[in-house]
Amino acid sequence: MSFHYEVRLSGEGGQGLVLAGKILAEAAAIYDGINATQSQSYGPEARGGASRSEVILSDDDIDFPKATRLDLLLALTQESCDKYVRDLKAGGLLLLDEDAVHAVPDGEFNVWRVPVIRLAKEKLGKAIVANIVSLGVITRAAGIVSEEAVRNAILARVPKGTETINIDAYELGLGLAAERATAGS
Amino acid sequence: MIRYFRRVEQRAAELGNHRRKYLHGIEREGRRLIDRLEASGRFDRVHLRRRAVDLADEMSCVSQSGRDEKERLALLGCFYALHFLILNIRSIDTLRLSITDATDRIAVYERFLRRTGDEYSRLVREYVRHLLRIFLSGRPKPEFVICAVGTRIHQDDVDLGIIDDGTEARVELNRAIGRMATEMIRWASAPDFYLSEHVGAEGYTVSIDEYCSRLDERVLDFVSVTEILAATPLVGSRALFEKFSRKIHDRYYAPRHGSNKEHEAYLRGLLGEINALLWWPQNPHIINPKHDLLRPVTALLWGFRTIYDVRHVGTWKTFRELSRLMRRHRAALSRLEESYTFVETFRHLYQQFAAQEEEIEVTAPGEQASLQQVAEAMGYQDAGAIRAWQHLLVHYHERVEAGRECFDELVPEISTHVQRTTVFGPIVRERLRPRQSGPRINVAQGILERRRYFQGIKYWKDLIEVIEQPGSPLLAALVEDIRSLDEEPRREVVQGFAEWGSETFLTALRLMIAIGERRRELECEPLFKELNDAFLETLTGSPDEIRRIATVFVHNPAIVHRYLTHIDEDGRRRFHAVLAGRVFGGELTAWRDRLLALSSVHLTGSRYLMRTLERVCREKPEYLIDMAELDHLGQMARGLQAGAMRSLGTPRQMEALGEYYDVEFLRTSLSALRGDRFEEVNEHFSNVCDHYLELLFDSCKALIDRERNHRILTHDRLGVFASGGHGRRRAFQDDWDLVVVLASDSDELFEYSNRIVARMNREITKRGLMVQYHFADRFGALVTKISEIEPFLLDTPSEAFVEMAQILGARMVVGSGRVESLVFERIIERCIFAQAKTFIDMAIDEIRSRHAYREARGGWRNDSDVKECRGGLRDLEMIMLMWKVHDRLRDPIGDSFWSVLMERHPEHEPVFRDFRRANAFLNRFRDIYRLTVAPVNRLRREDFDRPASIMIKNPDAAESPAEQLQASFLWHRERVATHIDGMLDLLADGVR
Repeated sequence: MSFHYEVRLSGEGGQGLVLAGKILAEAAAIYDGINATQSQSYGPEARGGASRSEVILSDDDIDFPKATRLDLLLALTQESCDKYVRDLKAGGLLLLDEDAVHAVPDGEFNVWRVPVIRLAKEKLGKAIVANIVSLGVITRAAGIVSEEAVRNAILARVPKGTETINIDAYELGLGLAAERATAGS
Repeated sequence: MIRYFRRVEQRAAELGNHRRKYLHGIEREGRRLIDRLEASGRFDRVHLRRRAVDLADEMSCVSQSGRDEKERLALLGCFYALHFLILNIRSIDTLRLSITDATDRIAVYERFLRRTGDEYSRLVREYVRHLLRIFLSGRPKPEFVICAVGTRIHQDDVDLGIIDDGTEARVELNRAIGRMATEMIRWASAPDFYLSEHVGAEGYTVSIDEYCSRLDERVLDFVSVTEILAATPLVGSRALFEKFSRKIHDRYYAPRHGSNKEHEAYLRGLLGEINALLWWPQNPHIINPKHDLLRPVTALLWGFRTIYDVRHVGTWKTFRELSRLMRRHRAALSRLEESYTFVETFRHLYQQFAAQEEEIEVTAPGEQASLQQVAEAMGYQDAGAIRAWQHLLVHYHERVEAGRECFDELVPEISTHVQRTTVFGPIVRERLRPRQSGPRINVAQGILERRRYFQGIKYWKDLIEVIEQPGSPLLAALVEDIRSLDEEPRREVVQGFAEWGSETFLTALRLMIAIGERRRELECEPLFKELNDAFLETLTGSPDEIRRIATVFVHNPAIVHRYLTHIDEDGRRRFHAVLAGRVFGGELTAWRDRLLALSSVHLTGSRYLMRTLERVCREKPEYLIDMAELDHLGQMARGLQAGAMRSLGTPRQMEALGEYYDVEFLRTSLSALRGDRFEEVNEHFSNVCDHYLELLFDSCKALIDRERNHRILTHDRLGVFASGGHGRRRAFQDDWDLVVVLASDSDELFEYSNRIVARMNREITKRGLMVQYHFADRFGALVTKISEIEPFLLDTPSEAFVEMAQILGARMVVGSGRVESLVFERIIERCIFAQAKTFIDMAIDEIRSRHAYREARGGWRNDSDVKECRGGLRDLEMIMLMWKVHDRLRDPIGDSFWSVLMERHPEHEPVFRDFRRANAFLNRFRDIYRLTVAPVNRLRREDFDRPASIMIKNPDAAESPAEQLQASFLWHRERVATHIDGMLDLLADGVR
């Protein structure tokens, strides 16, 4: 059965969301043979401090790189949550940083509240890897791209010398998603 | 990896982790690529381990060797990956070779960047061409052209813009582009379709007609316009590109005459971008070449290209062409070009060796090794203890700094052009010189009408500067025209300005200040409030908003201060609430907290405190940024103090002294408001005041010497004594009591001393302090001779009670030990201690008559005068003075005096302890009240909220903080009042 899966990663500039989007797209396209496009905010809106990265995954051709009906929305700020939640389709997954997003919007979608920023800081000593923690959560939550593909794509994207901390962050995210899935089931 | 490609793999090992993606492709398809080329007899036509001789032909061979579409795509991808790595390895090798004996490194960097950019561009072009050939083979296709719209050297992504003829066949083209995008993510740099996303509708391609209708509709953001203007055809129809160029590009270049709103909007967008980037919060641990310099330079160059009609040339050619066209800016352009080349080289090499990321966390693990690689490739070597990467980073910052300095000279070229050609010009001019007939233009509506096209634009400096001019007729017209409107249109106009303001805070704040400053003259107080309320209503407190406001503050602290000065308390509270929202990023949080510190003072500070803040803002506005960091403010004050000790007796020294006093006053006030230990705050500030007076005395003395052309020796006979609150080491006085004593009868010395003190007086009053010179009224001069004081105190003690009290409580600030001893022996001992009984009786009379008088005027509980009331500060001061006289003590009166008394009279220790506590509480309350409400002694119960918020540490108690403060106020006074009659009886009886 064919699929078309749209992901938007949103938050603030400096949270590494563009990198996370690129990793997800490359993991799908290079290692799993899934069609993928990725786009990002780098125009005036990005100068505003907000950051957005979109990935479309499909086994069919992708006609347009812009996500319009989201299957998964990651929001690392209240502002991005409020702004983009309307694009989330019914039954989609809203993935929130539980410390950054306090007002959780209502809607016909599933909500996962995960403390990605806090755990990145507490467990790995660096809030900056919250993007990779999020990527771990997304990988397991979406189940579209294989975990190994994402691991390889991370290694091909992060700066030399930071491979270990990034892989640890990714594993942390996978673990969080597993815990969340168990708790929800 | 098969043996054939092992050398490429080995050489690629020095590249960053992005090489893994390309090596993965080579490992997966490399064997098949060789097999298929050999099988098809094309192996010797294709270079797989070194640079291709004929890239187009070799890629065709590779493509044709595949047995089906899937295989052809894989082989092409593998070939691309190989040549991507080879290209970069070879370019870096060439750079290393060229740099070793280069005398002009910048020229080598430039050649490296241009050559690498050209080769990379060729590689991408051929890859795209071959992919499309596969995807469009045998399918109907429209006329189209794919353009590269980004910077050639940037390899982290490929910015593409696609123009087509808009016919139905575009469906096939879009599908092909979608497939091409996935292939590029798999094998090459990912494509980015910013233009498609922002101009097009649900597709990768946009036709010229679609561009036209979109551009007619509203302003296009400057990033899109830059991509449009930078477009260079990669693949497809040249004719279509030429048509696109004629119909679209021309819109953005300066017209020969008059205005062009598209050109103006683009330039305003670029100027906003330049300001935003140059004002971006700098994080000391992170460098970001794009933010630091590359983007501002790109914006600047595109601005000049459209003004001077420089088309279709690359960055370095543009620099040269501009140097020819703007001869007086040649030097600045040359410096900027060098900085740009250096930073671009740095960025490119970092992306090659470390990661394809923009932000570089210098202290992160592994980064220094990558930076060392960059440094060595750029020709740096370790030198002793200094590593090459450290040297490189120093140069990086120097280059960025040097480049940014050029903007001060070059940006006005663009802003002046905008000012001269703006579409707002006619409406402003017409309204200011109204026509004799015909309908009059409403300036407010006219400006908003024209502004509608410029949605999102942040640069309005030219317009706001006209509005800010002293007595600006435009501002008067604007206000008048808004007020002339009926309610509904007026509300719309107010809302329009508020929404405009929310896009550009700097402009909004400056507009509010301009109106605020003239609101009485223009009789527009209600309109000012209405506009500000509407502006505040648009604010949501989002992190982005806070960042933008904080950015305005850090670069224009005086603007934010002046805005807060003009708006009312409710507005200040709302503004503060917006700022208190959540933000991200250490540097940004620090900026926001600094702004909050200023905003808090505006919320809680009295006019008394604001008066000094105002002076600091006028003299050293940059210090407002440090209000959250008192230690830093302290360093600044010490710097000013050091400056004030140089160039004795010059106007600049006087200024520096005043600034030193103001900054210290501000710092001490903030420290008190923060709840720091009261004793330390007082001690520190009275030391500052003493030091200020000392330096001022020296400075004025030097000035008078210079004026007289003659130096007079005072022989240590002049002493300046502080009495009153300052004498007791109390901070936050609005007047100073000084006693200036001359221990000589020399007329020349007397005249000279008076001139010095008069000059001092002039400077002190500039700080908003009134100086009371005791004895001055009686003897007619600021300086009093000891020989005048002695007979006065001895012969008419009943008339000299106030003066006795003043000099008893005085402490020497300027002068020698000799004059201090003379004053103690000849005045204190001989004239006061010798008449102890007389003095104590007069003091008791003063206290009792004051109590009776105040009791008759409304009763003790209703008396809110912290100083004069029964049990207040005056009583405590008098008690200290009486004991000082009684015990013939030389110790100055103040907090520590109570300890002296407790030691000398242990039988009265509980009473003195109560007095000491009451003295500390009442003084603190009075100080905080001064800083938060007003510098008065009558403390109004309805104003207790602000001081209570600082002084009361138990806000959750049943009583409100203000009620708790009131209770404490009464309790301490009561403790003093309970003891005071007994104490007076004791002293009246001579104690023993």
